Amino acid sequence: MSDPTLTDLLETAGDRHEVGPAPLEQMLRDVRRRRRGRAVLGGAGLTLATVATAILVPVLMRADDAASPPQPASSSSTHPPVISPPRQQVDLKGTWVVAALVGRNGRSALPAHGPNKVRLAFHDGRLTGTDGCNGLSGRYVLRGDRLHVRKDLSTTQVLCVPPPPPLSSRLLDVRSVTKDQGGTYLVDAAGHVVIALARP
Amino acid sequence: MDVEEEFTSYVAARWARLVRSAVLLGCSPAEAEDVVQSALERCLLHWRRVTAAHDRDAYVHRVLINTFTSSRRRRWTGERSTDPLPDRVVDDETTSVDDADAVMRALDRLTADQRAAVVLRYYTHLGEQQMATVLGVARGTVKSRLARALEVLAEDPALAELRGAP
Repeated sequence: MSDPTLTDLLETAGDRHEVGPAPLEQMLRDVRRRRRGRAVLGGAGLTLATVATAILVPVLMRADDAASPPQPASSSSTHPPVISPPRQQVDLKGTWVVAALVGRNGRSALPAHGPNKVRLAFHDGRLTGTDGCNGLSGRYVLRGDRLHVRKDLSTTQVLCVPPPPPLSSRLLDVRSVTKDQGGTYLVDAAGHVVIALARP
Repeated sequence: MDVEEEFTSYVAARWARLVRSAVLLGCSPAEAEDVVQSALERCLLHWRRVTAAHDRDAYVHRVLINTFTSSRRRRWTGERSTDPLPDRVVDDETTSVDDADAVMRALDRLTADQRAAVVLRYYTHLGEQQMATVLGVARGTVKSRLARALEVLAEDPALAELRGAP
């Protein structure tokens, strides 16, 4: 097959697809938000390190003084202790209504009608739920606020019209759980809310 | 021109082409827009690296291919329809749609690596060295993937018909 022929055929196949306008505003907004998040996290990390150094170094130095001969001050001040931020244990157990589901394009992926039909239930590492059409089941690991949904989710295979929301695929994007002002949110690696949960 | 202005003009010029590249790589049209959006957002986060790159388009395509590959890994593929899908009434399709379908079906016969090579070479018009950079492989690997892909495509009867072969 000659190159021009293949090029023409690919152009034909590509041109068949109507492409909407680029979501420029959304992209710029998303990236600005991520940059702000990084700045906040960077600031928080610095503050935490400062607090840890201020509190823990004198304590460790006192303990060190009691157990061993005095050391030059510079040896402890150059190696401040490193601590991890405490992780808040989040309780996910029980049944939840999916109050909001955000698609990868940043738009709501919940059907306009009957949103209360989309549900999830977490119980001792076992995840079950429904996207309003098909049931799903799988396993999850929750450590502190870190949530990992195992990839081997299984669902029933009913052909639904309109197509159900992408609940399974979005669950796999979740990395942590946040509780804020009474709401419970499943959040992805970039810090974006993927799913908002509410008690039925 | 600041970063966001540069990014805006780049996206305005390349958006449609990038989305169509993602479709040819195997994304559904909606998924293609998501993948390209994610890739461009990644680029914008490090836009200075994009502008500093020797070949800006090659850099963006590398991010696009990586984003596409990640999306394939994340996507749950355990769900398979086991029953025949119900018949649907569809409008009469035009010749161009038939041609496009034949091309997409032929691309489906390729492995993911071969398909990426074909799209980058014959749709995006990257050179072999650029493709090697984008795919993170040796130039010889690019050549062999392309050669094998062309063999597979040459065996496709629908494409042969489109070419007017006997």
